[in-house]
Amino acid sequence: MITRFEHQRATTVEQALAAVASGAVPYVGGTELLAAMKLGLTAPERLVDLKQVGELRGVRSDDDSITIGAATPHAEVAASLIVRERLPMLANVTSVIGNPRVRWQGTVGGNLCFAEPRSDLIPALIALRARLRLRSQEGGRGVDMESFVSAPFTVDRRDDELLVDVVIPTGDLLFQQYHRLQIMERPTVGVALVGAATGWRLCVGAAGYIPSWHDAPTPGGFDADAVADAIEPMEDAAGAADYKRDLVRTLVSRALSGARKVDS
Amino acid sequence: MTSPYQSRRVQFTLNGRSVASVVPLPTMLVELLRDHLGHSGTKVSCDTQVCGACTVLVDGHPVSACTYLAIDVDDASVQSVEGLAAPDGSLSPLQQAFIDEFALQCGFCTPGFLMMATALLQENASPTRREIVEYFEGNICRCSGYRPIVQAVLSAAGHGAEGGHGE
Amino acid sequence: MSRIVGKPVARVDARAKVTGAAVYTVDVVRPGMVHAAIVRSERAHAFIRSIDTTEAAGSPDVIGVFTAEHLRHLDPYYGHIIRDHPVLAVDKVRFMGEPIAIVVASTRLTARAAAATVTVEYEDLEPVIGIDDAVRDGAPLVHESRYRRGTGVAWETVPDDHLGTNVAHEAHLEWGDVEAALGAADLTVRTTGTYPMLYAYAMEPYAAVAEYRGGQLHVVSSTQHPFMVRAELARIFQVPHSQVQVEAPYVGGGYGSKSWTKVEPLAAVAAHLTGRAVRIGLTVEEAMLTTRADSARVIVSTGLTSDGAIMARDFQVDFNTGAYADSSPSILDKAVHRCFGPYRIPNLRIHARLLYTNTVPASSYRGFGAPQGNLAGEYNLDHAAHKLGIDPGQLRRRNLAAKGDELLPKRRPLDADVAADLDLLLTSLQRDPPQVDAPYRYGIGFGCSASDAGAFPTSTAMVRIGPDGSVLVSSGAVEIGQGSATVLSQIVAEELGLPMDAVAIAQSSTIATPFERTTNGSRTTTLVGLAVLRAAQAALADLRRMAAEVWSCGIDLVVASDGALCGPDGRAAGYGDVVTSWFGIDGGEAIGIGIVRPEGETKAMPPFWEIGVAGVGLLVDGETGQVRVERLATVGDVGFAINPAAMEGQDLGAATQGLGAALAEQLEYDGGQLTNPNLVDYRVPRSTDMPSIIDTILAQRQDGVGPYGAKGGGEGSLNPIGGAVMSAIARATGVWPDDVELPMTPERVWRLMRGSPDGR
Repeated sequence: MITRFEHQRATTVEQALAAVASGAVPYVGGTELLAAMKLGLTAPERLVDLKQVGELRGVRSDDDSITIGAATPHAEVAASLIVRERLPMLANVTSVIGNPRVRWQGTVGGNLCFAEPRSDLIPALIALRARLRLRSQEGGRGVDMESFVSAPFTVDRRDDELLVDVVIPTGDLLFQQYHRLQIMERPTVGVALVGAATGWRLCVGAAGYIPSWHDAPTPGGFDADAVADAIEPMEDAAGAADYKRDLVRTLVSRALSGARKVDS
Repeated sequence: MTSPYQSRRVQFTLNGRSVASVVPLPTMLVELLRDHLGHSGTKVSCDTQVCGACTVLVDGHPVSACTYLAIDVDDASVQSVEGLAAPDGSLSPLQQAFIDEFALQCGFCTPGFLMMATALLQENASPTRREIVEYFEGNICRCSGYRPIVQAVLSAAGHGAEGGHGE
Repeated sequence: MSRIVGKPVARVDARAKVTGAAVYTVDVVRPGMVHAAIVRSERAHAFIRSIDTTEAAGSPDVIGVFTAEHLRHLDPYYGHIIRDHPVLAVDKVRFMGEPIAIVVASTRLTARAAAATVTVEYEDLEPVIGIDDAVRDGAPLVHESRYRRGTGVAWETVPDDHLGTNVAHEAHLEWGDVEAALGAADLTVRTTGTYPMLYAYAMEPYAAVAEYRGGQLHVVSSTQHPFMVRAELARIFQVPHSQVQVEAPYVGGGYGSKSWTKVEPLAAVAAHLTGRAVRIGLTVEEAMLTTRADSARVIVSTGLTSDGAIMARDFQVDFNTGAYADSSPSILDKAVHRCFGPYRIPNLRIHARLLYTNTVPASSYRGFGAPQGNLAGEYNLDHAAHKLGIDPGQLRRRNLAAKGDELLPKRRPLDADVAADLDLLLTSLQRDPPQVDAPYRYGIGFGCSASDAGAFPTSTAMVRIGPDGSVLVSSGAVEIGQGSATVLSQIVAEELGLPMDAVAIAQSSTIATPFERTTNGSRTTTLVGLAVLRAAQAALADLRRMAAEVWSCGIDLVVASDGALCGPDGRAAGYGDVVTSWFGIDGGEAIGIGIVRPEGETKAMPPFWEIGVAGVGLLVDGETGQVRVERLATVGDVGFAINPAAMEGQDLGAATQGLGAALAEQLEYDGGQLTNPNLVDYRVPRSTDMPSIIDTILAQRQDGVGPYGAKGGGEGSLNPIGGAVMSAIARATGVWPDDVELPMTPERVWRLMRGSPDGR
């Protein structure tokens, strides 16, 4: 049951920053925040709606990178021609998150900041070596995606900061693929594998409390058993630890054999 | 009756007509439609965004009205199941297809499926069976086993329907 | 021939349901309506030491806060078989979630906020949760005191005392000499089947609106049995039935979970104590804490000859029925009748127990005891076939009872050709086997069941032909999605030679429609159908009498033809003209009444045998344990499908619920707490789970006592699915455990393949 709150709407980033600086909790789609408020799990005193802040929404690109505004719905990322052409894995991931309502209501920034461990987007962006840009009234800073989430639902964002956008380098990508296995309502295991001229990265999400990633010069440098052993699996309705660890092993093997076909 | 909540006026377009209401801030869109505006076609089932019974379109996109603040549709265009038929009562091709294909039994999930299908056909006028099945992943039907619902959308798409007479 | 019946006529409720105009109980609004919220037990088993409602009662906009204390002047217990269920907990709580208090306030939000402030002090008692807990020596008792018989009249087997145990009910069935036969058998196969706790998940949660009008209690409820509920409420308030009205509008799913009394007493006592119209609308979480399906452990031994003839079957059946018995004594009895399958069994022994535990009360769910027993019984036969090296279809054919055979002593003989159904099924399932590459493996599974369904043949109906010749059908049956409104209208339109749009139907109101005992047991088409058919025939006879009088001729000269009456000398008149001529004014009605009771063709019990013949072809991912159902086939042996499209829809819906139980659905308890009362952690089938190839076959041999040879359907296609899936997985993986348990989640399949089928 929702307790009393105040509500304001921002139309510029400055307004939004002023609001969060004064203690308002930001939201766009509300799929996680409003759900948590309905269950009584959180009770913010003031909300600031960011849906009208145009600067926070949209997909931009240059030769070497694609930048996605934090308030961009997943479905918009999935539909973006630029993303489909240069980051097909990201287009794929954002087209399978949840269901179509989640994809229109939910945003990239909302997903990242909520940091539900069973996330498709976070391991995908870790594998893509994305960099997050945050801003407060004091200034801005960048955080690597792999450093952003420290524990379930725990991210490196101060209450007075906004996640502004996500920058994904695209200059030297050779290979990108996401494999997912889902048993219950949310993903059970996600494996993102990205190869760039500078090296390959494999990231496992949803199985452990936080994503785990590995770097190697070639896909042959990854060992599915080692990756699986490095996970501390969450036990839940989808399975116990030994089962989940084996699922990771299987999915990583499948991802690597997919890469081997390409990178011969 | 006293309320511990602030209220705010929200004005928007509902099925093509301008409406306004004053609601307590925590009011969800589905409550605004059902309890304040007398549009009980949109249903609440799981109340946690996973069953799709409460699906309505906001600016053409499907949302879970059970977890969408009513005040957030201010200035927006909302479409609910009541807006699918024409003002003279004639059914949309999608509604007719649901009838023809026996795509409903108890009917409680039906408004949600109709709105999802409307959104799908607006986005993709000729979806494949696979695309329809996947689009409906977030909508539960406990009665039908889904086959006739998918068939109804295929059938409506075949007739070049976009799902609604209304806006 | 048949003009309207036997055709896929469009549902008469479809337009209302696709426009959002259909009214369900959750949509009902009454002037001055207020809202009730329930304070629920936070303990599985405890004495209630105190309930502090001061803060709630003192809140503005709270109209009243009530506990069992406020109900002492009533008879505040219900339960149509065993009257063990208090409206609000009296002295102790027996499951986590049990209603303890009601808060009535002007808004839903206020009522819930106030309910959250009520504090209860408990004195904890040790809970019993599982079957073994409930039966062990010295187990705490869920019910200490003697219970009373409920309102159900046809009950024979409720024993008067089970004091000192958690056994709510027992049932036995025996013939022949099982011990000797097992001793002489070439092979005895002993297996165990464990069936999970399930939630029916009707998408419209329980809701009721109750108010007093002029001293009469009016209740609108999402219920399958308005007349049963009326009887319970009348007894609780100690008033005649005629002073209580119960009405069901469209019901948003039932599947048996809305059979018998649920939240109506809560709404009614709130209306009684406040004088207001009170609405109770449960959330899905609360609904999951209100009713579930019985879970079961069934141990079966079958003795066979080496060429697969069944010599003997022995079943030990334990049902976990939760804190209150609800309809489960009947479900247990039916499980006993249904577990051994539609086979010739020379020696049979079944012992069954219904056990109270401190969990959510279990009640009916589609199949009504058949699925629980069928999992064990059919898997056992597949296991036997595997051990004997006999084709499982052959094993079934070797043993299937034939039409006319007795399945239960002194009951209606089998009125179906199950072997022919099986042939249809296997032809479908074995068509075009898929190309399968590693790591996938493919397996086919199927099963047979026969249920003594139809509940009781107690139905009345009216058909009214009005001054313009249009027709109103009046029946106490409920439209829960199964299509009763359409099927009953089709029968009347057919009998009267009218188009569908000349017929309208009013249903499910104890004041406005005549008595219908229940809407369950797949009975409506057969039994209510007979009642409306007789009512239509009676109305037509009435019209003919009217015409004969108006035309001053013998009634034998009046003939019904094409929706009109013809008389001597070329006279003809539409139904409306006959009515108005007879009444001498532009008004009047011809009213026909139809009655069904245990006589004539509905004397033998059961009214029909509901057949379940269904199967799957599925792929197992040998690495992850995930199962993908490629093929689903069902055979609806329904005698005559009055609406074939509706019947196929029912078969697919039933089989889909069966697949949910077989592969994904289970309510899970951690100690006394239900850990997954929500749809994220309780996984029902979704569109993406739909089998790739679905074949809903109808077998129509006109061998039922219902209209045009109809029999019931709608549950049969669920019953064999659990066993079919389990056997298909065994065939795909090559692993045949002795003990099987549903659901076969990916994890359980994975463990099966690695040699330890038992989960964590």
